[in-house]
Amino acid sequence: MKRLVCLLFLALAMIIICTPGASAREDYGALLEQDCEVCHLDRYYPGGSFIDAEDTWKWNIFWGMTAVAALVFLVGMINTVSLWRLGKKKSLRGKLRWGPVLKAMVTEVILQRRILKTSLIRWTVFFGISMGFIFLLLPYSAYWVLRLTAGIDFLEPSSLQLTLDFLLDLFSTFILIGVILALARRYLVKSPQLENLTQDTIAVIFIFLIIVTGFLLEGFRCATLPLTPEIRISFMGSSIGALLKHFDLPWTVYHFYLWLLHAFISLAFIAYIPFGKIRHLIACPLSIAATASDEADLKSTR
Amino acid sequence: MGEQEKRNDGEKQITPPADAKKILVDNLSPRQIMELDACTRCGECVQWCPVYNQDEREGVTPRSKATRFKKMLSSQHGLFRADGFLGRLFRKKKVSQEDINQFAADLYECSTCRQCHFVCPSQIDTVELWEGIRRSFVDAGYGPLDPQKNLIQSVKSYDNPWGQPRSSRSRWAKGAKRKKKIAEEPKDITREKAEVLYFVGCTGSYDVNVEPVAINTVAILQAAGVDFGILGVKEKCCGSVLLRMGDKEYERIAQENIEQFNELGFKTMVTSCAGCYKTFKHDYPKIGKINFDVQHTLEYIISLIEWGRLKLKNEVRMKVTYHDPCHLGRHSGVYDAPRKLLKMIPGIELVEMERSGEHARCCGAGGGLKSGYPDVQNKISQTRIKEAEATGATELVSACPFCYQGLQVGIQALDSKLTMRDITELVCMAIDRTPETANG
Repeated sequence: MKRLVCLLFLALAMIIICTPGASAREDYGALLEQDCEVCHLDRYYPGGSFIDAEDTWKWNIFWGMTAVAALVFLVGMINTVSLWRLGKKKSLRGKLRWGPVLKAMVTEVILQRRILKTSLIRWTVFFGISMGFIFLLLPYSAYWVLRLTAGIDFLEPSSLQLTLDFLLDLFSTFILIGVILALARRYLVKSPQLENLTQDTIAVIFIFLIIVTGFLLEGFRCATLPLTPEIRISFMGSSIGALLKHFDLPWTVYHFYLWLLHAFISLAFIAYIPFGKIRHLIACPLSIAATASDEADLKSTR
Repeated sequence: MGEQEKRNDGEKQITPPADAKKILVDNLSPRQIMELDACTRCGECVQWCPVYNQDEREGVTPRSKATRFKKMLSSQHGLFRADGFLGRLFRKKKVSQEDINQFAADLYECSTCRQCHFVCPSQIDTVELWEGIRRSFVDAGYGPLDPQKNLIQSVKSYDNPWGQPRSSRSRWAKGAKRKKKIAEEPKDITREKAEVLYFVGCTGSYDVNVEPVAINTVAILQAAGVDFGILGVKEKCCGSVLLRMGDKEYERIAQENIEQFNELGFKTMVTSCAGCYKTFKHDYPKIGKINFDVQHTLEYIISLIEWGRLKLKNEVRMKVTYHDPCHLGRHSGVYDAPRKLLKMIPGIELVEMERSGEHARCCGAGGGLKSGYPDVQNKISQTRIKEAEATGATELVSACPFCYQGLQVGIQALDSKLTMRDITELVCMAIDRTPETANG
């Protein structure tokens, strides 16, 4: 079993590592260089050419970082699972009871009833961050997995693209609200039940940086585009872009470098998952599922 | 224990903390180790922990224990262990003897009340986890604490935690018969078969202040004409004390008890002790198959009333509040039955404390806390007594000899006017029997 888990992780990492270039083929070749030169000044880019930088530098750096992050994540997960497997006793009282487990997944994992009962603010923090992440990652991951593996671009009809743009902004806003509330509880209100260890701070700061750099990226992009209704559907990005438009700065250049920074922070976050408290993303649903199954078993013996 | 190293560094002599012995966790389950990662450090447990409420020391909180134990574990095991290549590369700190000693002290400063499990958003099965970690610590020679060792040694030597001889286990029955509190001494089930085994438990058998629980239970069973027997001097501790404190000898005791019980051929075991009840009903089946039903006295009394074998005809005019024993409530899910029984007694006015049911405060007596940290238990008990007093009730009722003992500590410390009663006392009053009371 342990070997199987390791193999699965390795296979996943290999898929990620061996597919660079798959998404590097943005069809810049079809564009006339003059089109790009309207916004991009070649001298600011690595290699002295926007198209070269976009075609090779950016994606090579991205896939290099992805490979390192995947490897670190993999090693971390192998370590985590190997620690779990030090336990030799049975994990459940009886057999796994799927009905109660599925119910608990909805009421206790997704809706977190226990937190809702005790504090609306804490529930908003949880719901903002976790639901934001789930709904942000699901369509986005599905899009890239399908595009990289099967070449299917389900956003081809532009209406779907616009819907996704709106949803990405919406769920990112949820996360931002959740993170700001979490930081406020921790460092401004200083809730007595919270104790701040480095791992607690790192987790929140990571999420905060990912969202802020993400919104700024959108803002930089929108700052150089006409604010059409299609652009405005990305309501956060277009609002930031509308503000930035007042400053005559090379936003497209900043966009290039910020994109790399955003990718770096996001990948570092993924790599960090097995090493800090973010592990609970995996362990918490498992613990709730096990408890639901055990409680159902206990009730049946009562 | 690691070797102590000393080196002279100029005038200063530095004594690095000795490395700790490796903690083996094969007696935990993968789920329990995984649950250490499920802790989000949200601090909900901190709000509710009865021990933390007394001295507000972070070390005793479930959150701190989960974080520190995980750190210890990853420092001694896995790819990043301190003495491995990656551990040395990232300068992972070794676990020191001092860390272990402090952790052990904090690990045993817990009444295993299970409140933390009920408020934890990740629903970590905390008590099972602490008990498992305690087993690992006992194996490694770091637990239990010295005062708790006496209880454990007593169970191993005398089959009870109170250091009393086996021969005096059923002395309470002789005394009760002499004082005419019971019609006759209960029969010895090992000599004469019976439908029901009344398992008295160590506290009810040996503690003179708590023996009214046993006497009143027998009086009720006799009044209802139940065919029951006791084990008398052959009754052995259920082993709960050992299980809670992490001693593996529990498994031997449980195995022996299971064999003895299964051979006796009774159908129902009735016990007045919430700790014994939880151990027999939920812990023994993990050791071996049991061929009988386990019921708490109050559950069995309700059945007797419903079968028409027991009539609660006397009015008992009392304003009472009920204390949920942790092992009956949070550990076994029995919240409604005691309230149902109290409502069946004519004249009883039941008022709930601010915290009851799933969130009932603990009396602090369980999990070895009373023996390891009597001062902390005293304070926890006082907190509960104050809560009971705030209801305006004159009687504090419970259904566990251990809570009975634990709450008396608080009543005495506060010189409270509350009268501590086991639920069987009230039933005796209602069936026209003069109950035996610890209060005279």
